Amino acid sequence: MISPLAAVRAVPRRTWLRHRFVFLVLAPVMVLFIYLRIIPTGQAVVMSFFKWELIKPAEQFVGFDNYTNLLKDDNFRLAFFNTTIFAVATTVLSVAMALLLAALLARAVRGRLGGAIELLYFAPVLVSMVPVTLGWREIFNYNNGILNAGLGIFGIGKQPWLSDPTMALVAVVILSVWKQLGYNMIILIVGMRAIPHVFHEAAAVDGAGAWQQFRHITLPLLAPVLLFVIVITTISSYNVFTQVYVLASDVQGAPGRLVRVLVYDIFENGFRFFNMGYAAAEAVYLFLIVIVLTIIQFRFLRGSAE
Amino acid sequence: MKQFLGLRKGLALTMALGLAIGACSPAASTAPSTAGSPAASSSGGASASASASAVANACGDAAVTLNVWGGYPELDAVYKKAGEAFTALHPNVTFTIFSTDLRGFEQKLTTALPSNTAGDVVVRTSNFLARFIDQGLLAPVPDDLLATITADRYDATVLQDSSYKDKVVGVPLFSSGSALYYNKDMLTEAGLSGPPTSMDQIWEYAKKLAKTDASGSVTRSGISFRLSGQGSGVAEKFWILLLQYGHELVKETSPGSGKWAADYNGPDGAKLLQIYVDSLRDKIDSQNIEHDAKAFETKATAMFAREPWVVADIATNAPDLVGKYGSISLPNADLGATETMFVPTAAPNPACSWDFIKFLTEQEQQLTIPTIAGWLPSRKDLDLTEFLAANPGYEGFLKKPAGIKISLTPPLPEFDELETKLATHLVDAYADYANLAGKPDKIQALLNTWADETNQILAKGGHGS
Repeated sequence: MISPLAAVRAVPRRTWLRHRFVFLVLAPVMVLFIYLRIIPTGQAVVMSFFKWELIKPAEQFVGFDNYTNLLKDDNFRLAFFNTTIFAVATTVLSVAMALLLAALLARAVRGRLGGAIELLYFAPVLVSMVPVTLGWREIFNYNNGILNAGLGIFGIGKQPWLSDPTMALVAVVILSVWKQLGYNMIILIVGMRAIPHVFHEAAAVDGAGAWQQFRHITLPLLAPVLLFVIVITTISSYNVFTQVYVLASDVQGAPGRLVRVLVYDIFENGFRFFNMGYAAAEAVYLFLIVIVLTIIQFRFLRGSAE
Repeated sequence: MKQFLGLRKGLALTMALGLAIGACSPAASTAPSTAGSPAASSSGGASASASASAVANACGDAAVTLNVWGGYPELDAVYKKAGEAFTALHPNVTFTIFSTDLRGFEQKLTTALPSNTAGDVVVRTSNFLARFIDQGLLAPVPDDLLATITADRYDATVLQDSSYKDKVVGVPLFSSGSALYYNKDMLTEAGLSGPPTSMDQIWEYAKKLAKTDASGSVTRSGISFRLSGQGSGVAEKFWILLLQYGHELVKETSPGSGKWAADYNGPDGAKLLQIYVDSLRDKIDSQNIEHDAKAFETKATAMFAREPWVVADIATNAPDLVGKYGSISLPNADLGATETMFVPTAAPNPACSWDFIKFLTEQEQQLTIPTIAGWLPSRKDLDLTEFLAANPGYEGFLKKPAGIKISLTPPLPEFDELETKLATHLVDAYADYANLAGKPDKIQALLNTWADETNQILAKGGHGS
């Protein structure tokens, strides 16, 4: 068995020299990345083992107390539950719908019409989350919202989108899927268009229908892109914050039930209750959850991609 | 070697020149503690020009920009006007004003104060800023200014609310409390001759004033409760009504003991929560309609309790309502709060900042607060008779019944946490009104569970009984 050090030594000096330009141009970015990402993450881990107030640092080493107390904390458990439901629903819906749209737009609808439709679906990605959420708050309005008015046409009664605990979560999912859909769709369209036509032509010659071509050619060849989209959507979904914050902002007590999610709970513990150590432990939990999910997704999906 | 000597000479010359310029510059004449001089202490009734020389001393002649930070955007115009008057006296001083919604402001302060990036003048309650005072991030009030913060000028509750650990820590700017706003036309329409004057009457009126449509949906609430929203607001509104029954959210077990316990889980607390959930069941209010000032302005509610700023808000957003509504003091008690002015320890021009604060406490500036922003000045020695005659909407705030009890936010750093967590529980209970309405046992059990959590938070903060 060869040791890592020996492996590095085994790389010919020529190779280092040949790639020195690469190392040189990467160095500033790596330094920034370490300074802005790695060090703060490490500091958060350290902080999580202390009773650490925001303005009164490192009061007392508490070991794993913050972690064990979190497991008994109703708000944390509710936040974890809500975030997981939100992430699963948003990822499944936004990826599935994006896949459907991409399949249509990559092959069936092209030209100016295709471009216009792509732009239409991508437009929400370009708008900042805060104004978008304020707009959706009006759409979800119980009495005057366009959504309840639309449902009324089909004989469906008014839904308490912003006040009922379950419906409030559904409302955040709808808003987020609408916002995420265009991004996922564009990535998948690019992936589909990169698949050489020759595969589909050969399959068509062999008598494969559209569904069979999609199932046996498009999907397997799209797997690496699909993996990327799923991982990115899962990560961003677990980090949901702005939507729930704005939908429930208590400006003059407008109807808006807070959907407690992990990042909101971290924010509240850290910046409202000043329990930075506790909030840091919660952030570490979130980090671990996202890492584990990403590894699982890589395991399952990379296999099929290869 | 020659080169080295030349370099040394050059450096020495540069340093000497730098020192000479520094000594002669106008900035050097900005004495840091002139705000504390007797000359700077103009009394409340004094005109702006009377304090001119004192301000000039405090702010020097060099260009100074004071950043004023507050959590009430409606006060921006007050700061701006005061700033213009101050600049007229002292052309070297200019102002920038930053404000955002209260919660956003608190979060900004939380990070800006420890990193020494906050404004020169910061306006917030001493209760919220207590942790920062403990850490020495806010400067003590200069002695001359401290001497003006007296019982002749301010109510005892204002002084208490501007104090921390029995010491005045900031300068009161404006104060607030709540009153019950009511729509006169709606009362007349319901056959009610005047505003309610007791809690029982408030609930009775609310029942008569609520309206539903053919499908049974509430179209107008009889009284608008705070039923949702993030933060502690939901619990605070519950607290204001609980005060009417003689109870607080938390109470010191014996005066001065420093030990506190939940006070909302007794029979009166249970009765109040019962009223909330029963009102939702009986369609006196609903989670699905507008609430608060917006509801009142759009005639979606007949009554609600709020601070004085709503009067100015109505004048701006619902002018057709002016003259058709009134406000009346809540019957037994009120929750007072005083927005207090501070100077961060790291502020670059503390003397000038304190002088501007002093300027804001002068009568002329204090009187702009109600007329421009709708809040009431903290000073009690101002004559607001004419103001009230011109703005009868303030009656509920300026004509309080004798002997009304004014409660204050307890000086507990963990209070916001326990209040916010209670708010979360209350929102859940209101959402579950169908299961709780008419069930006092369930309500009492819930309150006891929440009170356990409150007591645990107090114990964690070292204030448990």
